[in-house]
Amino acid sequence: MALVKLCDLDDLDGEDLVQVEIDGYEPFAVYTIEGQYFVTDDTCTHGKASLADEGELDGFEIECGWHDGRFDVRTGEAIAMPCSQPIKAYPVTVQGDAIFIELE
Amino acid sequence: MVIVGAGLAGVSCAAELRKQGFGGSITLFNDEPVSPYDRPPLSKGYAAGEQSADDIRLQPKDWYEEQRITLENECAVARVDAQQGAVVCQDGRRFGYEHLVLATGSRARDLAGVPGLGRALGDRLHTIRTIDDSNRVKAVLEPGCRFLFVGGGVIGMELAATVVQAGCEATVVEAQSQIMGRFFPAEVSQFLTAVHLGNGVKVALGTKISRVTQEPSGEIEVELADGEALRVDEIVVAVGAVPDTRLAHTASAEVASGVVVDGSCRTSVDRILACGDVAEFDHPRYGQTRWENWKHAQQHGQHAARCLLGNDDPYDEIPWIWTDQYDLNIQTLGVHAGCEHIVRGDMSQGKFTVFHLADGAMQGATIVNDVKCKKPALKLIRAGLPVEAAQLADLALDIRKL
Repeated sequence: MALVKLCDLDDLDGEDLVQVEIDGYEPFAVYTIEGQYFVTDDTCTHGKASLADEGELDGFEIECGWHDGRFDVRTGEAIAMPCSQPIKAYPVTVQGDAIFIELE
Repeated sequence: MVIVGAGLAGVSCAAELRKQGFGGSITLFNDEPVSPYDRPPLSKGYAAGEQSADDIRLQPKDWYEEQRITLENECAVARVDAQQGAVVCQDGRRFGYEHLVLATGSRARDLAGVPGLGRALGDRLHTIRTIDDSNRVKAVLEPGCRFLFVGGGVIGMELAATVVQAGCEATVVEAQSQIMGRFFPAEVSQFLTAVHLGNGVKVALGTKISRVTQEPSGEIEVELADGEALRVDEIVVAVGAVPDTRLAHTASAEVASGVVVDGSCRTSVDRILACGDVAEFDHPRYGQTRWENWKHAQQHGQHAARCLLGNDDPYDEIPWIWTDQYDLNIQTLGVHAGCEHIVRGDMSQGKFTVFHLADGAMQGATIVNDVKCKKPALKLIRAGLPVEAAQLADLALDIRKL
C-alpha cells in the first residue's frame, strides 16, 4: 500500500461529486459530504457508467444514473439492485490542501 | 408465505417481506437448477463473457439462509390446490400456504407457422430467457459465426450488438417498419438503427422470414417474404414474451392479458396474489395494464409484500425501461404513443433526450446517454403540469428548473 496524491482540494471546485483521473489508474469518484471526503472507483460495478458524471449523491449513497443501483460511498457496499458487487472504496487522508488515498 | 417464481419479482417480494419485519416462514420456488439471477445481462455482459454466473446472482448464495428463506431450487410447481391452500410440485410434494404469491414471470414467445423453423434445427435455434439459453449463445460466439435475429425488439437488438462486438455477423429481421417500436418513437428507432448499421449489423425492416431450410452441412438458408434469401449459422427468435399463466389457470384465477389483480396484487382467488410480468394490474394513471420490465418486476414484487402485510398504498409507478447497446445507455420513462416529440440535445452527437408531450403535459421521455435529464423528466411526468416545448428544447435552460 502506498499513499498517493489524488488531487488538490481546489480541484473539486466546491462540487460534492467529482471525477478525478491520475496516471496509471482507472478514474476515481471523489465525494464531499458534510465536510468529509470519500473516494471510490468511478466506474459502476454493474454497467459502464461514471458515477461522478452520471450519478447523484443522496446522503452517503451514490445512485448510478444508468440503472439506479446504489453504493455506500463510505464502505463501497452495494445497497440497491441491480448493483450487487461492491465498489472499491479507498481510505482517504487530507494533507495540507490535497487529498491522498491508499493504493496498492 | 409461498412464492412461486424466483426471478426478480419473487426474490424482491421475499426480500421486502423480511425488510418489513415479517417473521414467518417464506418458501421460494425456483424451477431452475441455479440460484436466482438477474436476466438483463443474458443478452449483454453475461452472453459476452464479461460477467460470470456469480456476477449476475440476484442475492449472494448465503443470503437465503441468512434471511430464513427456504429456496427450493429445481422445483417446478405443477398446480395450485386453492381449496386446500397448497401448491403441488411436479415431484408430487405438497406445500401448504397461508398466502401464495404467483411471480411466474414470462416465457419467450414461440414463432409458429414458418416452415422449417422448429426443433429440427436443434441447438441452432435460440430464444433468450434463461441462463441456459444465454450459455448456448455464448458457446457459439466465435468470430465469423452468422446470426439471424427474428424480431428487432430489445432482446434482439441487445444481443445483435453483443454478437457483432464479438466479431460475429448479425442480421435482424423485423416485421414492423422500425426496430423497438414498443419502446421508442420512430426518430429514436431510426437513430438506433443507424448505430447498428454503423457497427455492421444488417437490418431488414417490414419483412418476415417465410421459410427455413437446413443444409446437410448444418448451414441454414432463410428466405424472407420480400424474396431475399440469406445463409446463417444460428437463428435467434426474439419476438417478445408471453406471461406464464399456467399455474394461475390451475387455481382458476381470472386471466386476461395476464393474471388479473387489483391495485394490491390480489387475484380473483382468495389468498393468492400475483406480481411482476405475469400480472395484469390496476394502475391509477394507466388503468388495467401489464408491464414487462426490470424495475416493475422489482417494485411490484416489493409492493405485493407490503400488501400482504396490510399496507395498501397505491402502486403508481411510472414505467421505466433501459437498454444498453454499444456505448449507449438508453432509458425510457412513461409512454410515447400518441405524443408530440421534442428533442433536447443533438441526436448526431449521440447524447439527447426526446420528450413525449400530449395535452400540454409530459407523458414520457426517451433519454440517450443523457442521464441528467432522467430525474427532472420523471418529476414532470408525475406532476402532469403544463410544459412548454420550446423551453424543453432549450439547452441554455437548466432542465431541473422547469
